[in-house]
Amino acid sequence: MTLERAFALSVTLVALLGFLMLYLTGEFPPYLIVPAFPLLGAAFLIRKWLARVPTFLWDVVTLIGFVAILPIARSSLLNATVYFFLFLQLVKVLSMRRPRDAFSVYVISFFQVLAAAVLTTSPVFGFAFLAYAGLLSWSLMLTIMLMGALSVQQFAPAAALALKKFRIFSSSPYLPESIRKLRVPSLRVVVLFLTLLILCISIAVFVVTPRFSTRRLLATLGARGEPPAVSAFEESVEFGSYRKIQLDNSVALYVRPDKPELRPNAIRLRGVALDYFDGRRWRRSTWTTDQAPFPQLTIRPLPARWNTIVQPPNVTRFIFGETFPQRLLLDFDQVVLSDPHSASAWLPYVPAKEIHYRVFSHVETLEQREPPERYQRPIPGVLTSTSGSESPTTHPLEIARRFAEHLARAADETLRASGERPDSRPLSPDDIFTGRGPRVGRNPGMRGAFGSQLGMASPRYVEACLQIPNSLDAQKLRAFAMQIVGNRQTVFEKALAIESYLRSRYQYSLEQIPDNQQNPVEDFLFESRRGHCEYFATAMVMLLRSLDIPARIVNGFYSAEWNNFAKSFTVRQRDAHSWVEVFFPGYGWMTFDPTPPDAIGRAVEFNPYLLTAMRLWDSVKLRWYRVMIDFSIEDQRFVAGTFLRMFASDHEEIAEWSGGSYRADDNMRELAPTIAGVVLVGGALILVFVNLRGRWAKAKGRKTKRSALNWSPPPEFYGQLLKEFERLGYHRAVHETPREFAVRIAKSIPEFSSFAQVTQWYYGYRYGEHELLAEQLNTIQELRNSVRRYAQRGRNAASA
Amino acid sequence: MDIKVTNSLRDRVKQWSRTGFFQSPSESRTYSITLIGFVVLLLIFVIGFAAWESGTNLVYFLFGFLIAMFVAHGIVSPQNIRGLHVERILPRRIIAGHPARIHFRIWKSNWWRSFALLVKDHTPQGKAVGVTFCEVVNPGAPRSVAYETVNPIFQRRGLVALDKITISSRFPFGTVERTVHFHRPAEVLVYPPIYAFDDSLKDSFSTLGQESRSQRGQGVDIYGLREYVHGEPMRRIHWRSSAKAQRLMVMEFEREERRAVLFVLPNSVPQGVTSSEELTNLFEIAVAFTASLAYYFLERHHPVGLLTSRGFIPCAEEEGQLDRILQALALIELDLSGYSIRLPAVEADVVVIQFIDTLFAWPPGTTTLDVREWEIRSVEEDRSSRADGETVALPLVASKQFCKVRGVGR
Repeated sequence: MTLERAFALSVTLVALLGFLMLYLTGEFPPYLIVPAFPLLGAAFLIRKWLARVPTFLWDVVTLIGFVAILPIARSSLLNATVYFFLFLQLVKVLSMRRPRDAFSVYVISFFQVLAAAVLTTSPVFGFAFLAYAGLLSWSLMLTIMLMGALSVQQFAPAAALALKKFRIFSSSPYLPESIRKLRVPSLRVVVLFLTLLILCISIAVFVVTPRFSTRRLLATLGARGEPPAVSAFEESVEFGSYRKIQLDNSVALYVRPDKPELRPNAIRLRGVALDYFDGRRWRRSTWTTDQAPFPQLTIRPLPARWNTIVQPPNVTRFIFGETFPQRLLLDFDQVVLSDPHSASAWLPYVPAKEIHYRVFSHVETLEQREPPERYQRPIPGVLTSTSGSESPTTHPLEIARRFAEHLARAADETLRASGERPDSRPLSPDDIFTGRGPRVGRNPGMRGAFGSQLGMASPRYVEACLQIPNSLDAQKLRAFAMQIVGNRQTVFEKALAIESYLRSRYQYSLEQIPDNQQNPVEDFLFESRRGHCEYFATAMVMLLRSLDIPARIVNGFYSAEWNNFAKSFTVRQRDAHSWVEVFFPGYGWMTFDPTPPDAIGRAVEFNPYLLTAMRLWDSVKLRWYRVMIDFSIEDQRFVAGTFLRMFASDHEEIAEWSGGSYRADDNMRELAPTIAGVVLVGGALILVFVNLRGRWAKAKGRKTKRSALNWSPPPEFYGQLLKEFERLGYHRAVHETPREFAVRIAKSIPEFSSFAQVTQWYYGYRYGEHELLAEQLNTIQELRNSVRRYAQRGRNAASA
Repeated sequence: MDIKVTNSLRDRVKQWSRTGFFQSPSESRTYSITLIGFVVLLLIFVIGFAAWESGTNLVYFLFGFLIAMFVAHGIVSPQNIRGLHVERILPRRIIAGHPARIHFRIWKSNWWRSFALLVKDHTPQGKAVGVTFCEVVNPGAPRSVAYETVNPIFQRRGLVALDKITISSRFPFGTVERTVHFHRPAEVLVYPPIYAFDDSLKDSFSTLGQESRSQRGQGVDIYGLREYVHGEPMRRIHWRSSAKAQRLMVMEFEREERRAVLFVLPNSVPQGVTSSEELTNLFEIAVAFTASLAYYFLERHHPVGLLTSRGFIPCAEEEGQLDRILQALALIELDLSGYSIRLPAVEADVVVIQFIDTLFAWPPGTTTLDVREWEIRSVEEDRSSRADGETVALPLVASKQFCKVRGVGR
């Protein structure tokens, strides 16, 4: 391939890849990006024609583009800037004249890649970037080569005039023949080596660069940064909507446990808890500005684990965690809306791109449930011991009132002890609901203990969890519930009985429920006796509430689809699930699931090969997120600690420095094999390259020892003639100018005296930039033929 | 090779800083950050700040990518010029105004390939006089590249000193230009330019050095006619006879006895004449004229000699005579100390090249050619003013010729 062609091709490909990477972000409309591909391809093919377009015309086109984009700037300056740069990139490629013009293309393409890096988290970016690094390396090398070749021309006065009119893509006479015909030396090995080297260094720099953003720095320095935006959020779910969702096979989430070897058979992901039911729709009844999104939902010490959750675009705005999420790690600047009463968190919008986050959760499985009495804290005045004795009342308001009375009495005792008169005022709602009223609040030591002692954040919220819609017949429900629970005494036993009853006596079905149904819950309980998880969960909540047991519905996912390549659960839309949380005073919330177990966590029905391929791709995606997108300062500390441990003698100190709170997360150590793998594979490839390169060079050296000096290629026709004369035994000596050689030939073989004239043309053509006329070309061809005939005659004579 | 021997530690440190600790004093390496390099550095700062501000990992990765490009260039670029060796191969003759090629032979002593090398030849003053480009040098395969002697320094006769050869490269990414300097001092003697003569001028010395004999040869008197053979000059075709014979006929001429021709270039001028630009120009034209004449007559196998006020080259036709004359003419200078030239007794036609009026009386039979009656025109220009534009390509002859000054009659 000629240098000119290779250069044009490489620049076009770099520009094309820039557009492609933007396209892959999905942030730009296809009509804006896709036309660029055929345009760039056509620009490469007709580059010589484009070179004839006057430069000022391109300036006019740029100006027109700028003016056309101005109206967009009114609405969004950022969009207008991006669109203008896309347009400018096209114009730059189309109007490219000189090698240095390529640098504009490179810079714009780099900013395209930068934009893609900001806008996407997809691992496709990694592959595209790999191609970009290789292509950019190749293109830069060609540009440097072409610029070097052209800089020589500046020293040739004969070409000076032509240089002013020089167009890289144009045909002769603008581009000097010597450059136009210059062949590209093989750069495959160099490009491969450099790309590998760049990637290794990039990864190394990426790993060691300190992760400090301005906000984090300000926070470290104690400055008051902008607080994260957290507010209450109302969410409602139409009853019956789960049916549609459960017919959808598309992927909703990937959940990667930090300890895959300890994974459960199935994973239950909690999304949002809803407490208010109006007969057709579930929603939340509370608003709060509390900034703690995930309060402790139970006082029982449960096993806990970290999960990395990857969510494809346009799925949901809920943040998911296992049974009881406790801690959330999102991108630093990500805004999260939350409601601590329902222990739920949302993003303010449904993300249009893939997001990922890490959640630390307390995990409670149905099999591991135990009677809450074992863990219940004694509530003075309500529960006197942890021996398992049941409180005479389960109504949360009653419990709160009794507890508040107890606290008020304690406060009065304190006053008496100090010689003051006890407070005779009645308990206010603030005393009962929050423990901050005038009577209870006088005992400061009790304020903080109020909520946790009760096992709930707010008695008022728990009271809301006893709501039954007017459309339901509460008496009928209570009678039915009493029938189910029989003579069971504790709340736990009653809840288990209802759960078990629904599981065994009711049938799971995804059949369409008629829209005109006035009371779907009663219809499910007393008529049809079949439905999907939402029916089961709602029915159980209503039955429990009819017995004054606070309960709420929880919407989330339940998946048993394990991807062994990605070491993660694949959660599909069809895995959407509803279950129940029941409140126990002095304990907190406990999970119950009345849906028949064989109906949830069903295996997906796909072609096994396709499924394997999909799982492999999921594996690549998740590794990308873990190693690239989620790479954090904790990871850096871990990597640094690992390397230091290799060389240091005092392991304990380093472990302390590099570990900290992060050390508890042992699964992060999986980074070490990944990094070590990259380093080892990269190093091995470099060694192989060096070894092969040395051998190749030696072999090449042996082959080329006998070769004569390589001349820089003269124009083709003259070079061909020289070769013909060489066949006759006339070699042009190093010291000989073409004219001297022509005279020697003329003296030796008078038949070829016209070679002197051809040499004169060669001078004019090479140094004077004169084109050859057709008749001159004919003469040259004739001379070449006559030299060949002469040689043939010589060979014939010799053989004769 | 200029190796400065010194005992001063300070001087040694200075030298090391210039050449590098492990480098030979005859080779030194330098580097400079290019405009591309500055742009990449600027981008590194901008992207670094963006990464720091946004905390986005992929932006950190791009930041790493830019640094990696700089570092990778820093690793590969020295290897690209390391192990390179170069030598200069001078042509046999360099004639002012006539492009010759000065070659560089480049080879590698290690196993890395070198790409995109810019080879420059420098004068001792550091001025680049020739540049050439070498796209690749493979290990074990010496490469030869050349540059044309088109620099103005080669357009004047005389001694040209060359000193340093530099090989620089911006490969692979152009962020830093690395240069290796080789100290290769050399001297080049540039011969005066040789021009062709137009026909009218040739007529003025057509009788010089010739005696006619009635034999077929290269003379001017017609000996006879014969059929045209392919390759012969078209100007010898006798068109009238060709028309009669219905085939191309060429004229044959009588062979002429060649006599020696002694060119006299009186480079010493009479006392009282001061140096001026006009005088210098005329002298240079006279030198070129003398060189062209010597070449013209030697091409026609005349014994040729040269007499100047500083020396005498006896007439001879042997190989090397042209170089002797051209060397003398390359170094000749205008002598303002007074007119002093003595004509030796030689059996030759004496031709005096006159470029200034003198009162000196030359012996009878001496031909005087005054260069002020002639001017130098390019062949193209002259061809356009002539009906038959055919020129004969001759080696060593520049694309100009001496022509009669327009408006001057003889």
